[in-house]
Amino acid sequence: MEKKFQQKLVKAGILVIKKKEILNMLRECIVNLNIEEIKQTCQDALAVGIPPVKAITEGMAEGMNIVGERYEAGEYFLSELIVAGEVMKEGMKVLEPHLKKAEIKKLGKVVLATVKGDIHDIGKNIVATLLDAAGFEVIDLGVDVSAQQFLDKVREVGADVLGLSALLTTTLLYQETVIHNLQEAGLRDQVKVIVGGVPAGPEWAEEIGADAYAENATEAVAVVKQLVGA
Amino acid sequence: MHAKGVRGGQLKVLSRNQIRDVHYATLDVLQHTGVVVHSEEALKVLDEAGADIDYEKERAWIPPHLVEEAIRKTPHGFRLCGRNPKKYCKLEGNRVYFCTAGGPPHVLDLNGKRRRATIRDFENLVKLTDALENIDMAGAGIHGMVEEIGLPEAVQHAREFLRTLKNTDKPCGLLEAGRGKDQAIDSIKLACAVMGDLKKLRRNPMTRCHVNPVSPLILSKGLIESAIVYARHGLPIHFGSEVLGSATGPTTLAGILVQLNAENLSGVVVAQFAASPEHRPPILYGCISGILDQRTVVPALGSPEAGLINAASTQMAKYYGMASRGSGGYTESKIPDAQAGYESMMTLMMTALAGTNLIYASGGLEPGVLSISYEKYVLDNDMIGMIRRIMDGFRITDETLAVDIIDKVGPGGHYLAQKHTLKFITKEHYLPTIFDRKNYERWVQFNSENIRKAARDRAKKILEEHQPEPLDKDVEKDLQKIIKQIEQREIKS
Repeated sequence: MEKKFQQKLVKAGILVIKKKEILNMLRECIVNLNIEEIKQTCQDALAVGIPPVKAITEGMAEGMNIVGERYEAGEYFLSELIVAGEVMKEGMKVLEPHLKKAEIKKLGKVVLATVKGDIHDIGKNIVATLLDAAGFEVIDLGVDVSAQQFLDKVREVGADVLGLSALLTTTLLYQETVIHNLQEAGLRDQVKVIVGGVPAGPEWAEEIGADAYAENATEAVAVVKQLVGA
Repeated sequence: MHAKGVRGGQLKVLSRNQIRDVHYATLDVLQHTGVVVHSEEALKVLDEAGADIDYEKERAWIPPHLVEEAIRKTPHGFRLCGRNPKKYCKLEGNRVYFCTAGGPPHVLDLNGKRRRATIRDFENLVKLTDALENIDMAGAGIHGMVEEIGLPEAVQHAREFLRTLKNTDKPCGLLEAGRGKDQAIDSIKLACAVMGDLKKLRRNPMTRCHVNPVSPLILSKGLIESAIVYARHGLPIHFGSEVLGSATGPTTLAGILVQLNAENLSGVVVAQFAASPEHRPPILYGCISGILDQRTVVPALGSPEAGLINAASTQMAKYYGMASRGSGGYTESKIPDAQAGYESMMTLMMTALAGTNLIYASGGLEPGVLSISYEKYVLDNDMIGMIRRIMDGFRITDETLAVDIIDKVGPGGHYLAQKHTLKFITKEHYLPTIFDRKNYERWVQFNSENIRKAARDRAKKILEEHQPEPLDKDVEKDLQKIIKQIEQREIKS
């Protein structure tokens, strides 16, 4: 009896260590941008019985936090930040089917796009990738999007946050038009608006009545989280 | 530290025919005007070689064939080593290395104050050089520290030697003899103690003799006799002419170049004819020349003319197949301001692109480099990083042409998440360590106000954290012993 009990303990002990190790590996996969091994590591996590939510929150998401911090500190490049987001996406492909329905609940719905007249989308795409990796449901309308298209989508999906991107000083003005139209349509109170883009700034956001501005993609994630109270 | 060096030679300010004209004009000067040599020993060397000598007037007229023979006897270059023989500068061909300034009596300290330098400053500046990634060689701090004023020159020199070695294992600029025979022998003894013996030192020279001819056309006793000591040991000698156009040399750039060349080559003739055929001393053909600013009466080495003279001097050295040394990073400014930035970049870039093997004096300030700045050491380090990048130029291969990646991304995509991007970003793009590229908002947010603060912060950080490779305890003991002997000798007399 005694021996069996010991064995059980050992077994349980190994299991604990192994789980911790795998969570570390998940984190390291993200930090080291290891897109080759992330899927297998996620499968290993499921195999040893780590709940998928835990694999995300205590594994990959922690990795993303580290990457974000390093990017902010100037240690990581923008490219590394984006690739980390993509590695996380790959991992999610394995974990998502195993999440219970209740667990799939996202932090919120974000509709975003580059505004009408502007086809620059790199910045907007990066924000979309990182919001997705952070647990938001992201509806990306693409580029050259009119106020009406924004309004329709916000209404259709019941968006929590609307993101307006513009690179050109000429198209920046259209952010104001979208906000104006939201008000006209009586939707302004239902959705938080965040603006971004090289010519935008905190003063501009205030001037046009947006709720927030973010200077870069990592800041955008933090700001959007604040907006939805997550 | 990049032992293999980065390649220059892209810039040519003289054509092949112009180089020949300068060479022939120089031979003319050496044969018909000649030079004054304040040393009977050196005059004898020239006499035996076949020059015309007037011992009373201490003057030598050197015929062209002797000059050309001395040039032929000179090795193509040499490897200047640190105490760690793996850290070296291959002074040859188009390889370029960067050295910090040394020698001034003042520092612009970390509080922005100009004051007399102390031993602590000396150690700090060598330590900074040791840590700065784009600097290959330590110009080695300061000369004439407050605590040592009044000490015999030879004692100061020997102590500086040890102080330098303790704080860096990179090659050093100040491990040089030049003020007299005794000091030359001291330096060789000290360097032998580090390298093991003379043979090893000859293979891995870590000391060199430094000779500045006195313009116009004079070789002083102490300097040329030191050079003879080094020549006879087969160790490297630097001849660095200091012509100031319109004062100690002609006003025209071509005239400055001819006189500079004549002064350097007169030294080369003495060195090569004094040496034994088994151990030819390598020569570092140097240029510390520029113009005199006639309004302020100071040497202007951060001038465009100095840039041109340095580049031309390097071309002359290459024409002769000798290693070259030039002045880059010079500025007449008193603080690391816009003027300092412009002048330093101009002179560094000119010498680097000319392919000057050893570029001396990053981090210095003021006419005649009368002070050294902690901040400018760090600033120049970034500037050199940029210059290195420019010199690296384009690497053209199928992989760098990136046709596959352009196709993969296609119109409208982006390259940020491509493996190709991550692979090449640090290889193809130089990222300055402190130069500020933040946008306005972030710049305000981080209170980055100006680049001098960033430079000071980095200097402080390095001084707090950086640990130079420790000097071998036995070597240190041996050096202490030699220094003791020098102190006993000098302080008695």
